[in-house]
Order: sequence, then C-alpha cells, then structure tokens
Amino acid sequence: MNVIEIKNLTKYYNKSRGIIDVSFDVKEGEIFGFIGPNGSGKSTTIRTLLGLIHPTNGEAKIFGMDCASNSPKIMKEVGYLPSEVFYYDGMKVIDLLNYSASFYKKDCSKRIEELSKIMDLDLNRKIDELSYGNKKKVGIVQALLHEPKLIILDEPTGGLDPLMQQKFFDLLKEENKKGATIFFSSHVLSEVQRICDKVAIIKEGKIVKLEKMSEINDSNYKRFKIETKDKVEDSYFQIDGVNELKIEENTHSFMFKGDVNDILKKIATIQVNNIWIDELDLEEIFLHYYNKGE
Amino acid sequence: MNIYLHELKSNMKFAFIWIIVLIMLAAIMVLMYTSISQDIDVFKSMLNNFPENLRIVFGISIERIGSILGYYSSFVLTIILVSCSVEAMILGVSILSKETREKTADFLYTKPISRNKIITSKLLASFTLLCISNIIYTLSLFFALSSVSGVSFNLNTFFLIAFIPFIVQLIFFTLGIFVSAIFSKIKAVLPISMGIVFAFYLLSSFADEKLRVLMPFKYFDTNYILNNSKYELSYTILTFAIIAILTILTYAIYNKKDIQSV
Repeated sequence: MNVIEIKNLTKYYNKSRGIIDVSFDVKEGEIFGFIGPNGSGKSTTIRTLLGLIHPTNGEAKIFGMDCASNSPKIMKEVGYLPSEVFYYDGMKVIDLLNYSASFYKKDCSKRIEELSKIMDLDLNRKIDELSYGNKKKVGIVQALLHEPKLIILDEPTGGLDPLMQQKFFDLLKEENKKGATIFFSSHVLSEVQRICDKVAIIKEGKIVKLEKMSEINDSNYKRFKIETKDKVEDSYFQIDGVNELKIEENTHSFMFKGDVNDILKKIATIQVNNIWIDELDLEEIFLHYYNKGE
Repeated sequence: MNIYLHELKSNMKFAFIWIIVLIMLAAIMVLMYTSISQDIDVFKSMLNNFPENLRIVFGISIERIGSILGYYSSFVLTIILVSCSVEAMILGVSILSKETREKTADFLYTKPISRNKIITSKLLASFTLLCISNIIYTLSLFFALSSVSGVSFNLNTFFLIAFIPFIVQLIFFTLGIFVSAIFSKIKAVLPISMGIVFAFYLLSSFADEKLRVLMPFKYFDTNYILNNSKYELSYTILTFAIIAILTILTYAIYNKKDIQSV
C-alpha cells in the first residue's frame, strides 16, 4: 500500500520555480530518503504534502486522500518535524507539548514522558531559553507524541550532537518497526544512507533519480582507475554504464554501474600496470547526478 | 476550543493594558468635566476662539457641551474611538498573521484541524476579548458619569453612545484580519494599524459629508443619537454588512493561501 502518492506535482510561486512534475510513491513501512541541496524543492514538496501550500498542478495524496482538500483528516496520523522549529514565546516545554497533544483525540501524556526521557529533554524549561539543539528535541517529541503512522522530517538532525542523532535514529527505527512510514528529507547524505530504504534525489525542482538504497549500496556503483602500460584509444572504455570518463596520459578513470564482467572483459584484453576499484558512497553518487545536469 | 483558550490567554495582557488606558483616558476627561461645568460659559467662549477646523478635527460641538452625555460624546468619544480602533486593528492584523511572523505556522497549520476552525477560534477569542473590554469600559464609564454630582442622563442614550466604540472596533478588527489575509507577510503590525486608523480618522475630519460611507468614525453620529435616542438604520446596516463581507472574504482568502515557509 502506498502511504504517499505524488503525481506530476508542480508548484510555482508566482513565476519562480518550486517543483516541476515531481512523481513518486512511498510505500507503507518504508523509510524514504529525499535528497537535494538547498533550494532544490524539498521543502516545497513537503509543504504540499502537509497541505500548507496548494499545488499549481498535479496531486499529492497521503493515505489515499488528497493533501490539499483533506489535510485535517490526514494530519491526525502524520507527525511533522520542520527544519527550523519555532514555538510560542513564554511557554514551558510541557505546556507546548500538551497544547500540541490537545489536537489529537488521545492521551499522549505517557508518550510525552517516554520521549522526553529518551531525548533527555527538561520539560519544565521555558522554550525561549532553550538552545537550538534543545528546541529541536522539543520538535522531535512534538512530532512523535501522538504515535503517527507517517513521520515527515525536514532536515531533522541540525543542531543535534552525534549522540543525540544516534538516539534519534534509534527512535525512528523503533517507530518504523512498529509500522510507521518515514519520509526523511535531508542534504546530509550519510544520514540518509544510514537509515533509508529508498531514496529520491531532487535537483532544481525535478526528481533526477529514484532508487532503492540496497541497489545503490549493492556495489553497483564503482569508481575505476586503470593505469595501462601502453596508451589505449580514448574511447576504449566508452561502453554502457560508464560515466565521467577522465583520461590522463595512460590513466583512465570513470564511474561504472552495471555488470562488472563487461568492464573486466575490457580490462583483460589490455596490458594493465595498476588498477583501483572503489565503491562510491552516496555523496559521490549524488554529486554525479547533480553534475550531469539532467 | 484549545486554540480559543490559547489565544485568549496569549492576548489577555494586551487587552488588559488597553482597557486600563481607555478607562484612564475617560476618567481624566470626566474629571475635567467637573471643573469645566462650573465655568461652562467661560469654557464655551474659549472654545469659540479655537479655529473651526481644529474643532471639527476633535469633534467638538459647543452647543452640546453643557450636558454630560453631550460633553462625553463631543469631547471624549473621539479620543476613545481612535484609541480603541487602534487596539482592534492591532488585534485584527496580528491575530492570524502572527503565526507566520513568529514562525509558528508550521506548528499550528500541520495539526489535524481545518483552517476554518483555526480562523473561527481566533476570531472568537478576539471577539471575547473585545466584548469583555467593552463591558468593563461601559461599566466604568457608567460609574464615572454617575459619580459626577448633580447630573442625570438618559440611560438608553447612554448605552447607545457607550456601545459605539465596540461596533467601530468590530469594523476595524475585521478590516485588520482582512488586511492580514491579503498580504503574505506583515512585519510591522503597529505602523500598519495606526496608519490605517489615523488615515480614516483624518478622512472623517476633513472630507466632505458626501463621503460619509468611507468614514467609519461617522457612522454613528452622536448628534443624531442624542436627539433621537437611536442609531441611523442605514448606517447600522452598512456597518454589519462591512463586518460580514470582510469576515467572509478573510475566510475565503485564508483558505486558499499558501502558508509561507520560515
């Protein structure tokens, strides 16, 4: 079952681009990574999902309901953590959390206690006095206190120290195990790599790549660097799956995705002095898609 | 209900300060009356020496100044009206827009509640505060006027006049929420509110009577009320039509509005 369905979603702010023709689905129980640099359209997509902004074209659905018209119903089962958390001045943490809980028709007090214990959050402090990281913790508790079926996170780790990040990720994994679907937007690729099952890469408002994390991690992407004894012709490695071919004297380096045997056969027929084969991390894959300009 | 209570709580201080200011203003003016009334002829001739335009701006009517309600409606009411309109306008401009300005919109508008309900809760909270303020103000005024020795006044006329600030506040409150609906981000609530109220006030003071439709401060003409003990029907209808239209437009616009990101 699809929890999120986005079809040809387009949003223009007057004439400036938000997102163009974005389509993807997020299945129930998935941890879905959404990657792109600042200004690429991540937040626009999320804000459309949350019913905060209205799409220019196309549609976004959560739990099979249209996000623009059914937002109040949808939001019962959605927890959202914005990239920057701002709350009402003069309120104590516990007041804010209780206020947040009052919107859901269930008793969340136990959950508030549990979560703030895990996140090491002092409930009796005033929110204006909290540091950025502590405010983020309030945001995390606020997003999870009603045990939502879909958790939407917009750059969630900013301000959290590595230890807290770990706790936060453990918390997310636990929620995921209990059945929650997680939509995780970020520009920090390593954290998406750490937690997500599937990833969509967005660039300048368009989805450039949608792939299962396991496929990406399945060492399908390799970086090759081959130093040959004699000079081989420039187009020798120009086969399917080869990208970013760079040639310096007798050294050919490139990225490869596909059946490794194809490339090994090519290598076997020439005299090789030295060879380096590395796996790509997501960062490089991302940069690769980002530079390709499609 | 939770938003209503939250808004009530967070705007209580604001309303409280304004009501104190208004009561003090009225009290000072009424105290002045006790000294003026002893030398009413001297005072009248002094006012006669004022430039006519100045008298019009301040709504001073020399003929009416002798009676306490006449004094109140020609001398005090103008100041009270402008002040309480500024209050209502500030409340109107800020009540919805503060969520975007203080960046709490992402919190409130992602809760499982429709925008209509959010708007209604906020409007009701503001309405409650304005109601309470006006009840307190009217009671204080009643006791202040009654305490002036040797005067009596028509109760019906008193309540008609005492009710004017509340109705005018409703006009400026709805104008305020409407203004906040059409602009995507309002950074300076106070200058906008004061600017608009004073613009209307100056218009009321200088412009031709033919433009009375554009002068909310003149919808409830105290001369007419003092003479007839009732409001002018046409302007009463106009007032409620304006309030209704601005409110409906606010709902319509806010429902289609994009909540800007922080």
